[in-house]
Amino acid sequence: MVDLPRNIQDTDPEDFANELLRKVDNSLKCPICKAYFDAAMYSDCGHTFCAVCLRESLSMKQECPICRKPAKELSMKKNIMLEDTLILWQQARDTLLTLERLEAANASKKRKRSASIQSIESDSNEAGPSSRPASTTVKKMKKRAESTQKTGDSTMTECPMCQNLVVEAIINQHIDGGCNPENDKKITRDSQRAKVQWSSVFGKSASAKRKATPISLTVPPRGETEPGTLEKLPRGSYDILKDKDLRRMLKEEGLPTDGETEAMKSRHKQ
Amino acid sequence: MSLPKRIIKETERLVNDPAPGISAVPHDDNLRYFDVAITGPEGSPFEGGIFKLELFLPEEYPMSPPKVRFLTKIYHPNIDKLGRICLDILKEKWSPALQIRTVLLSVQALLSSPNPDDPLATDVAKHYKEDEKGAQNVSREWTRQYAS
Repeated sequence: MVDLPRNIQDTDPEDFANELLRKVDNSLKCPICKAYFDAAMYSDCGHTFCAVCLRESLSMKQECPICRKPAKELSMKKNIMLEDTLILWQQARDTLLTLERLEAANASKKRKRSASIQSIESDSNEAGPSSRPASTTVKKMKKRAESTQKTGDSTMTECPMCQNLVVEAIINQHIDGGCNPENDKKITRDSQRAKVQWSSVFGKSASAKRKATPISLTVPPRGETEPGTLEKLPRGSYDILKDKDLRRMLKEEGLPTDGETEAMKSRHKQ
Repeated sequence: MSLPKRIIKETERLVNDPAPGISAVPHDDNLRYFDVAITGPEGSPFEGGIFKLELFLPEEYPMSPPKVRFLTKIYHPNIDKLGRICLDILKEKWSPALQIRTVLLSVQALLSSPNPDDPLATDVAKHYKEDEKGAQNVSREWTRQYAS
């Protein structure tokens, strides 16, 4: 076994035990840098990469790094939907990881304990057989969601994360919102509003449809998280520049000014 | 110079979940330098051998391909005396979406299917073209002699 330097900006904690969740997680990472997409962009073929990674790759070879179809920097487009999905996934990820860990802990506890001592915890894990492999997390969560919806709005339950009593119907949103009681109030309000609006949606009222998106309220405003709004560096035509001008431009960007003309051009491009 | 996250991720996976017949272990003092061992594919003249290679990730990786070289002597039309490998993805067909694992799998595949029409070791290629059986026997003999 090799010890890897742990200190190096390895921002995401350990991976999911569940293979499917691990695959979903990896599908939101750039095939070039293997980190979560940073300003996801794609070219004509549709394969998506970080803006910086794709641009750097296209500057060396004008083809898609995955399918090798011809691709040009000018045809790069933002993948807005994927960025939204990524933000939501990163919010849900911690919850899923915690649930996965709880699951594993519960499973090992239950193996040790006798059936009679199973009290509060097993109550909150409705209908869970005594030992359950970690791979069924998703199924179990669905079950839990179903059962909370069946019970009335006012049933209180203990949150597995913050141990506070929370209205059972909104426990999932409560955890997603980082166990913030302020959030809970909003969620309750939203869900009530949503119910009213959903009924009007089913009553074919088009105007209600637009308002009935309470879940998206938890998404941070786009401006904060979207690197795509950064101003694009101006790209000049290098061929009409003299070496002296090129050096000056490199200096302005804080880049080294030595080497051949071609090297300086490509350095400034990046 | 710190190690890019991508290299850390790749190394983790190579070590914890190695591809069949392939091992790659980074040096303690240089995590861009790997000791690689590839087992000769079944049914090929290299079956039964364990071939050592070195793999180096240049500063520009993954924008530039890794540098790979055989350390074990091998009789193969696309691998020369110095262990250099003639493989398109290590040169003009490199793509930053490829990785160490895919490169080593390709090298392993090259052992199964030598390509004497695009030779690096011209004498070996000539031998393979003119007398494939005889050339394979030499490959088998070298495998027994140097790679076991």
